[in-house]
Amino acid sequence: MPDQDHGEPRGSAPPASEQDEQLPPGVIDNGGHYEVDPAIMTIYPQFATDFEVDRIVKDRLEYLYWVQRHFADRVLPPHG
Amino acid sequence: MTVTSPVTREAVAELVDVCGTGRVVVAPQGRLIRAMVPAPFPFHRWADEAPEVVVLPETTQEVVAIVKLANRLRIPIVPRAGATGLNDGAKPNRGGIVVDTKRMNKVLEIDTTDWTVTIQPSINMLKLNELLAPHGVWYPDDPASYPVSIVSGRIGTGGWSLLGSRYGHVRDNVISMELVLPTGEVIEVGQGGGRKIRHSSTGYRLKDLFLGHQGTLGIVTEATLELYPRPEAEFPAFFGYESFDAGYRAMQPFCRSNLATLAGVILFDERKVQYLRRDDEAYIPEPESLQSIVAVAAYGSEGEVAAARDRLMRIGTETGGRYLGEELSELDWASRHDRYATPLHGRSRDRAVHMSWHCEDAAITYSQLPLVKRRWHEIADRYIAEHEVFDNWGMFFYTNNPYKGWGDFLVEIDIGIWEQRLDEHSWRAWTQLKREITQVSLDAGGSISACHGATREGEVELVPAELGGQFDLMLKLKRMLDPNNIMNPGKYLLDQAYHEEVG
Repeated sequence: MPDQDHGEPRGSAPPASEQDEQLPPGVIDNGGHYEVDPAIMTIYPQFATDFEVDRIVKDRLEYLYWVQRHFADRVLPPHG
Repeated sequence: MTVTSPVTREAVAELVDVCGTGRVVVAPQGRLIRAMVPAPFPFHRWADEAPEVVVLPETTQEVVAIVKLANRLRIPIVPRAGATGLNDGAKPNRGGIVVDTKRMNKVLEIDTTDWTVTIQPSINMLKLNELLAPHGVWYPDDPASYPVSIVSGRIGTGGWSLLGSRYGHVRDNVISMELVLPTGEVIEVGQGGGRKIRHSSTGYRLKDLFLGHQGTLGIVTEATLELYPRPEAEFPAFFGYESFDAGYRAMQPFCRSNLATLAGVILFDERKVQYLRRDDEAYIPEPESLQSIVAVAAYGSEGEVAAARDRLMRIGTETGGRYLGEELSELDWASRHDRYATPLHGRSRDRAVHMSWHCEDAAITYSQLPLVKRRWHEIADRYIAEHEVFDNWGMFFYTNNPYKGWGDFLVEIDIGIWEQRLDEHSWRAWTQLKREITQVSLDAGGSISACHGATREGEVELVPAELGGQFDLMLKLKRMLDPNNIMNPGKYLLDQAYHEEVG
């Protein structure tokens, strides 16, 4: 037989009576589904340590250089 | 004719006979996720939009068996590939069977003599190009969704490429296809009868009928694609201008530079530049005096790209542009795919909120760009003033003509939508906003969609107005090829094909 019906979709919220004590900070119940609280997005800019910034920038540059290599053997500078 | 037959237990058992147990999904997780596409989605209607069963075929024969079953039992059937499109082709309107083709992802032949690659079409372009790279060739379809979208979805959409001015778009680079028609027949369509022939004058050119049909005319099961030499070199450059008008005027010399390696010219308007300054981490803030940006990119052999580089830099200077530096030019161009997935910084009445993204994507001639820009912003701003769930992320204008830089442009306005707050009232406002924007495109002599298709509420109502007599012909073709209206019913207003007066 095919995959069986395993009940509600993953991530769906528990019954209302249990919600308040079970939801961790930063999580809301939106129509029966757990989601990140949009209020978190109002903290802007968000705090990041120097270590996190370094890691993000390094990974970001590594990805972008990979994209360049994926599409062409080399990128020409603006002047020959 | 409306297909309404439910998917019965017996039908599911037949599908299991075709595909085996592991490739037939009835669990809600697997069905609900296949009700969605990345474009703004009415979550408040989610349960109504889900298919009743999902199947994952691996062969043409399995697809044929599924389509014949759906025809016999009059069950709606919806082909679904990567489901990364920003239109509704891959989601069911009437429940039924979703045919998720992602397992049909094998490379069948890399022909380095006649320069073609034949595939089961549900392979991702990034993966395909990794396999092609050792042979010194590539398949240059480059949508914003490049890392995640797959070829069969691009065929169903008739997709648009960021490198289209150099390499053409999907319609130009699919040489031939094997298709399962809505009646279960298998046909090969291409140029004439040969699978690898690029141009033929034998008979009608039917291939185009099956590029951009949004899953309403069949399921592609094999495709033979064009190959190109892998580029030796790339040159991207971004130039800043003091006003939108200056950037708009500067586009023409770039677009008409007669450079065969020119892959694209893009103009960002002042609102887009403001948005990038405000919320795009990848963007390096530039002086406030810069109000528009023109970006260009060239690909090809090193000698050709070096010559193009020199001319493009000269045009930038002559048009009063300020070159924005290697770091921004190279890395912002390299991040061209990122904004497909991550433009999540919205503002609602000066609060930062988590938004998803929608873009209108009309095709408009150069002469009409300023008018369309002004009217689209007026419409968007009026709705933003009334509804806190929308945000205006600016516009850009991108060369649209395959193999040429001039003529018409993909015109896009990016609108952030606070999807978590959508309800029926704001959804209605959203579709009305789309309708007004779409009407402006038609009034300007343009096309509703340069790249995504036009099946969504708010735009699909205007498709007959755009196509005129061509829409009547679409209805006749739909009824002829899909006599029981099982293939993606409810899309493109094609149910009208089954009214008695059409035939």
